[in-house]
Amino acid sequence: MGVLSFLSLGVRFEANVEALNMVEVSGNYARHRRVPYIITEGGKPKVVYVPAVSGESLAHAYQELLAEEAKSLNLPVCSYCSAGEFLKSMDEEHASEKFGGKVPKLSQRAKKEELIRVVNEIEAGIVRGCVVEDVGGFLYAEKPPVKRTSRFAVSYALPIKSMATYATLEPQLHARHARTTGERREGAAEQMIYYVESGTAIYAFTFNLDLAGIGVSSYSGAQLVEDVGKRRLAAVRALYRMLSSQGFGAKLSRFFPVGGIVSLVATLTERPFTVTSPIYDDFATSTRQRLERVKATFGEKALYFEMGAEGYRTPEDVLSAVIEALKQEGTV
Amino acid sequence: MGAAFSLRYVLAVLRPHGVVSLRVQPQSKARVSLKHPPPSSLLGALSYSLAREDGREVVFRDGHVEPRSAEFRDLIEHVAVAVSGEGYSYGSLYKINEYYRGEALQAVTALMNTFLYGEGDFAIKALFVLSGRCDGDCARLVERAAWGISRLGSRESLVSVERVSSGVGRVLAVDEVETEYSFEWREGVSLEGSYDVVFTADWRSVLGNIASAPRIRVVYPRGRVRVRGKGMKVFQFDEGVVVL
Ligand SMILES: [Zn+2]
Repeated sequence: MGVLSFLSLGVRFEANVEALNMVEVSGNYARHRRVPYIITEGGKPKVVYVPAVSGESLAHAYQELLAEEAKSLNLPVCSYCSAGEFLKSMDEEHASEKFGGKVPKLSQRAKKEELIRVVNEIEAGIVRGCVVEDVGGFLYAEKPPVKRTSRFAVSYALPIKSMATYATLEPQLHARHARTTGERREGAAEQMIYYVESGTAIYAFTFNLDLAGIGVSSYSGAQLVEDVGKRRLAAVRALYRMLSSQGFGAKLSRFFPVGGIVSLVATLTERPFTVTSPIYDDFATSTRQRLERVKATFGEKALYFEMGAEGYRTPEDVLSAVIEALKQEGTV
Repeated sequence: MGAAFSLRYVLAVLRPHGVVSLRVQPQSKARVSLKHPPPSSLLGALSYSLAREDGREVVFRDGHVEPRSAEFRDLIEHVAVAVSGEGYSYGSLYKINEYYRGEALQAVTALMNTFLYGEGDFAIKALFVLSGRCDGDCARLVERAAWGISRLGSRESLVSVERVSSGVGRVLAVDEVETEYSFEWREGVSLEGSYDVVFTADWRSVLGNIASAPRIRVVYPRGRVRVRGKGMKVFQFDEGVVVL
């Protein structure tokens, strides 16, 4: 404690014509994820549906980048996470490579001491074997079950409140090619029309990263690995890359959204502190004021970063400053 | 009015980041989301922050693994919540296509979430009445932990804490009270006003296995309700009153 180790980030990004989070496909129609938004019309509440991107979708992108960053720092990542299949160590089969094929088990008449030992061994083995599961958590659903809470958390990306009703969802018609040469066969499924819903909005989301929990056992609080600093660095760098490349969401090969990050605030604190959601217009002011309050009340260190202020012109400027501060602090 | 005694409290005002994902436990295939935060989720949210002090999220108790909240609940005498603005439950229908080892599979599912998202400003006031075991230092720790509440319920339900207040309130016996805070419904009590009643796990019981925990009926006022009942125990503090 007493070290800056909790990072909270609020991001607003403009996305024009995107298909970042598709849910159901019904026939030739692919639907975008949407959420209800309650507005008042003529004094009566009314629900409208606006486009959204789930936190799960953002978390997936983050973990893919985390796997890459970890490997580039020569840190261990298991074969499933390397392939972007985040099944985590959900059962014996998926956990086995972390234990050379032999996952610790409870004996027939296990006593309390044995339970504690086995649970600790399983968590430690998985954490040592895979940085993605260290940071992103897992649920080993065997006997005994072992759960590790994710060290990062991410909200839904929702249209900002003041402009949510301007957010749009429109189906775009696409046509699949039909042959013009050769023999025409009756009934062949050649030409086909299909629709993809695309959204446009200014989205906002929150991302929290608890660096203090990386490489640390949930059961004993003990440090499990030697390379904690490097693992933390990989976790922050993955976030940097995610924001810098906008590498999140689906259908990016054809629906890469036009736009970019329009505002960004970040805080670094000793203990958990979450920025005000950027869906609210006052999020930067509110975050800054609350942070000052916590600093003054508890005598804690805390740093505030805002894109557009103090020479931080781009998201990369903010994230570089965050990483620099963490280096100075000795956190990474 | 009966004899009074004092207890400390910590009140945190939370602002939702859009989605509050509160799952009904145990889960079934039709995954339902609660519209109101149950007391056990509020305790869990505070526990996350408290547990981070030493990194231990779970405890071993009587041969079981339990969340750390099982330990922290001894510091808490009572938990209540007041929500301004009503959430809206919604779940997209997903069709999941999977191609696994040469076989094409398909499944349909829906995952409900509660959305506190709209023109109005939503606020969740979480009140923790501290037990006599929690002294001044402990109260300060809880106060800082309350500032650190980052998530309510599961997964994507991030919240930020906009304000924390603390102080000392009094436990009294009264026959009638008006409150905006949630409370456990008991026999012999009459209510006036608009409210929801939710069947939920008793936050005081074993939290390790929430599926088998005893259930309580919690009343969530919409705005305020008037409660009448002979000799009800209430907690009165600077910013309101709570039925215990
Ligand atoms: Zn892995």
